[in-house]
Amino acid sequence: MVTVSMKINGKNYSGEAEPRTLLVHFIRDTLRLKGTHIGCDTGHCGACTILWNGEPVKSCQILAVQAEGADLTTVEGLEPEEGKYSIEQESFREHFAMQCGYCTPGFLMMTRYLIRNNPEMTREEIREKLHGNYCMCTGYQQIVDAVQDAQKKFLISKK
Amino acid sequence: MYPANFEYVRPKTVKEALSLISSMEGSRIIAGGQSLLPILKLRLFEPASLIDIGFIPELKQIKVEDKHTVRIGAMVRHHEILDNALIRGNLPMLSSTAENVADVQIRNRGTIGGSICEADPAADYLPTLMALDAKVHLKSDNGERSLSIEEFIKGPFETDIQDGEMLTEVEIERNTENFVVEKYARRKADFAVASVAALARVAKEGRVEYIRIATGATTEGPKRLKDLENSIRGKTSHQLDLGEIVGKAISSIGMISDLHGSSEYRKYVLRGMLIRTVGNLIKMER
Amino acid sequence: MESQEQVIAHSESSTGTKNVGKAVLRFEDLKIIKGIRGYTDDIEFADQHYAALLSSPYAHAKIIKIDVSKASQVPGVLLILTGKEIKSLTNPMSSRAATKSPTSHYILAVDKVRYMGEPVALVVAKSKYIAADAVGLIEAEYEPLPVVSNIEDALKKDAPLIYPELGSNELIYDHFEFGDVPKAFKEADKIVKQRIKIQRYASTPLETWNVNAYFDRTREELTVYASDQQPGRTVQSVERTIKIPSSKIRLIVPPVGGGFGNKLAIWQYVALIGLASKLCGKPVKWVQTRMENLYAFHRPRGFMDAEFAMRKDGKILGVKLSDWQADGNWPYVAALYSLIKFANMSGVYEIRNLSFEYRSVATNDPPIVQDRGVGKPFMSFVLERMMDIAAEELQIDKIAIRQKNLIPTEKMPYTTASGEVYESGNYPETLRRALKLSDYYSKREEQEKLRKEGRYIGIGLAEGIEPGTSNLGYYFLSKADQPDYNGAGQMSTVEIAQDGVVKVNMNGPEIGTGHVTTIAQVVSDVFGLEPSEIVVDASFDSTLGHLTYAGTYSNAFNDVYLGAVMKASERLKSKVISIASSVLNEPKESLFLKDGYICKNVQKPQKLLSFKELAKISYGRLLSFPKNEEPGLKVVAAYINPTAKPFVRSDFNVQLTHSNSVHVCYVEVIPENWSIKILDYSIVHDAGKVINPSIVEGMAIGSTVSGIGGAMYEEFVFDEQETNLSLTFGDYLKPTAMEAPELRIEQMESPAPNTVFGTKAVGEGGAITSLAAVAGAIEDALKPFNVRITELPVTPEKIWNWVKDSKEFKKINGEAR
Repeated sequence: MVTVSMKINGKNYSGEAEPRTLLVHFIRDTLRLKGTHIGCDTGHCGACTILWNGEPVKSCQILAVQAEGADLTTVEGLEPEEGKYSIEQESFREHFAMQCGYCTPGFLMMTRYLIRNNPEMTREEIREKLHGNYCMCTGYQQIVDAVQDAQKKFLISKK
Repeated sequence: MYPANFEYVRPKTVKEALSLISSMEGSRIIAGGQSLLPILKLRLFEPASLIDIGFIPELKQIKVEDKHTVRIGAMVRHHEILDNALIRGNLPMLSSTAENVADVQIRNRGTIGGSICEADPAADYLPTLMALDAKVHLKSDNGERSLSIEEFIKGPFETDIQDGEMLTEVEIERNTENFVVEKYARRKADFAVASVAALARVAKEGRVEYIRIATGATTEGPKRLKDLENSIRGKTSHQLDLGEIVGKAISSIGMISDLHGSSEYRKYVLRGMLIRTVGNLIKMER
Repeated sequence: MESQEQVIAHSESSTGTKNVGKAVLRFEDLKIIKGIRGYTDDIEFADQHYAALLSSPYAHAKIIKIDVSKASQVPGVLLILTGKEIKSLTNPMSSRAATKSPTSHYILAVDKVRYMGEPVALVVAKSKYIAADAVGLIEAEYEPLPVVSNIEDALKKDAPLIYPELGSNELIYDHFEFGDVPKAFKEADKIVKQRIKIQRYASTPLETWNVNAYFDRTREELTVYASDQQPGRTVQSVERTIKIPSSKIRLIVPPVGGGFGNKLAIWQYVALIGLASKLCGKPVKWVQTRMENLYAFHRPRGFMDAEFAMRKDGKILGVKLSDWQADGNWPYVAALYSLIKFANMSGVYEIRNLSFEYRSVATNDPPIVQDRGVGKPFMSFVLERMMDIAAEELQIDKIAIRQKNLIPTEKMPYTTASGEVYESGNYPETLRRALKLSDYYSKREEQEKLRKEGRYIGIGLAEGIEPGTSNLGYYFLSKADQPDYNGAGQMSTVEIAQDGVVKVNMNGPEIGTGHVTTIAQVVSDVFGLEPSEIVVDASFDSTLGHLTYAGTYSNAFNDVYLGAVMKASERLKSKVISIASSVLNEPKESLFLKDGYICKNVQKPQKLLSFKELAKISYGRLLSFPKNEEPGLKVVAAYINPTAKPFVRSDFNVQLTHSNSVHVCYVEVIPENWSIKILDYSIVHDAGKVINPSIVEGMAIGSTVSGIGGAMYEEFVFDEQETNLSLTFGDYLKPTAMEAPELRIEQMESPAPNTVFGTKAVGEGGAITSLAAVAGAIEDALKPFNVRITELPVTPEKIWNWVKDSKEFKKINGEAR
């Protein structure tokens, strides 16, 4: 067992983990944050996407011990305050960008990052940036609508 | 989906890492982990211990010496290679290559050192590094040595790394010549079916002064197409029958064969890609 | 027993349909975006233990020995099960399948393995990691047996037998014929013949199979949470195999992370994990890995020999189909795919002379499952390819040949030659609109122009029938024994709870297709509330009333689930009005429901009694309660689709609602690598009345993209030893946002007369009709090369193989290859 200390959704955390524990299992099973999901074994599907210092990573592709000192954000950390919704969350709902919802947290984390770092993406660019996140239900079109909308809303909020 | 047990150590310096590498039996380095994690999860390989080099500041540096020698630490991640101003300014071809690697999330974790040491023949950096005459620096408790990519990559998934050695740095001379980096894959994130990394400098009268062409996805790993370079150097594009010399140059290459492309198909794609990309490159004036 | 006509009358006249047709934002989404949806793996029991499986590396082998001694020594391991224990403790899985049931199939492999990935041992341990460690230490010894890897070999005289007790690898052979097929073929001007193949591919829901079981030893009850699409039947199957009475089984299905039919086969694991919990006394959770998910339970591969008897003006006189399907070695769904294919063999066309023979063949392919479309994608592919091929051979325009054969709308409702009833639909209009939406004729002009520039541009068009709501039991038309269940129905519960809130429990698994919101919309209209005020429970619970085969599959939601919910709602509403009428001493006809109150005076509504007050009276103040009424405000109602016919071989329907669509696909093929770019894609689809257009549009898009995956990327590849070579998402290629094209969609509505709202099947559509649209477009693009596309997926390398010996290829590549 190794001690792991990190920040998750703004809160400090310190605890023990086996070195072999995947970060996604640490998040789901030790921290009991169930919003980050597992969809494959090989780092392809992106259902486990979280933000590490604001940048998206696949948490199944990281050992918990590697995240020592990191500043992590999961889907549970998106809401601006209790009962309210972030721009990303609202846009996804308004555009029917989810069906079973299993991939959605991963896409939401990507959206949070993309709209802040890639202003004014075209639909094609959005699709390109999202090719590490699989959705089996929606066919992606409404997700792209949602990201475009979130992009607009974010730019407006910055003015 | 659940890695087997291993011991885990986190050295703070290169010296500490090297001492662990030579002393720990059955140890393996973890850098970005993007190639290693799937292997661990599927239990294709069960190392007794992992040496995490992700906390060694020395390995994360990007420097330019004497205005022309770029030194990139092994732990520099793909997204930095893509975004970093020093690399974009001095090695735009390398930045361009980083964009082809996997996806956004994997680029935020994977490293150039890890990618080189994995030596996947269809991976993205190796043809580019070959075309740029990159050198890798290896250190061990006993000393250090530098190798060209040709010397370091022995074949698919095989490098010249010896027991006790660690790749610490990639050294590349500044190169801003016109370049093309392209890969053809089933989907963007997939490994190359065929790829081309080429540089050229064309003089005012259209003569090709400088040409480097490398390709990936071959049975030998990444390969410089020196015969092709020799046929082009000194000539203008009008003097060349690219279809013929490309065909000749690749006739002896063995392409890998798997679910995503048979060797014959890959050869066909490579031929067309070379004719087009090199053809455009040698028409480009400075 | 209220008749279905009365239900419709109630919804239209008394309450209106204010919320039908509205794109109400989904209520499900509120939990999803917060990450608190509550999938099966999100649920943890106290003292939770975990299961891991050892899977067979061989496709066909005798199990010689399984040594678990080292594995059981691992600290934290509680239990290990192998075939030995399973054989003594459980019954074989019963077959609702082949005419002669093989009896040697258990929930874990016993004595023999028949597919790569078949579970051979189960470990229960304190953590997932320890369970995996223990699995790694199990020493299994096998004696490989000769492998049967394809249909032709399986049917040879001395082929190794997958089920020796059956004496043959042909699980079922059957033949149906309607009309006068010999005459049709005699009178034909041309017989168009073609063999067409389909690959093994699958919808791969992002959430894998998850089961969490707890056997309570004091109550002797098994509680299971599982991502199960047919929980009604699972309970029966669990009872049959592990011998726990169904009355002592509580199966709960939390929201599921995608179903697509893939999760219809999970019951084997519900039984296995349930048994494990019973034996070790702990709650046991099993989370399937992606590799385990990719081992098995796909759509079957196979081929069809099609013969179309054509008149020279393009009219189809008759069709003969010979279908060969590699059903692997899971006989439980043999005949299921085949009969659905057969029922749809005339598609949207008037073809009265039909012959269909099929063979369900056992091989060492892994098991199959009723994956999205269940044979309709392949059938539609064959039909539409044959239309294009016939058009080419007869030198007729591809649109004209379809127009010649479409069932005219005046003939609706139309009964096909075999008895399938198309309840409504306007196929010529769908085609007309699709040609307009896609700007088809302009594209033909553009294609001409671009072809002259040396570009390979193609247009493909496909018309598909997209049925739903299975008339269950149809697959027994080919079998000796009777089905456990038949027909099409569902059962739901609607109540006004003691706090006055209207609660609906559809009691069908929620797999992501917007059930909660759709139900809230229609029920809100009944009770005069806003959709957000209706509480809809999105899970299945077997302790609530349900029919034997309750589940979410075959697009039945828009038919029998909505029917059951509406029936229960209308009955409850009647009861509310009746009770209120007595309590308030007001005539029933003067009362109506609005904003949570029983009111009178429609012009100037007067609130008389709140739902909460009524609930207080109905549940508790029984002295004030009308003597002729039953206390409580809870109604359980079952609804049956009345058009389901009992099965006779000469006249039967397999599915009960029939949507349809036209897909137009516009592509370019790049000769440098033969990759395919989809330049444009238009769809006109008719799913009858649409309750939430944005939800329906989302499913049309999603199902089409999944079809594009099957048309261009997805294939499970096996070597001659039946080793599955496609076990990760690096090898089994799913379309990402980059491979999915932008889709242009138009909806039209031909309401179904046999469902409560006129709604029809939604969910499989795009996966059915897209295959031929894409393949047809690529074939059209490759016209200069004279390629005929008769298999899937169409990949760049395959195209290269097809074109490389052609004159056109030599022309563009010089002589060098």
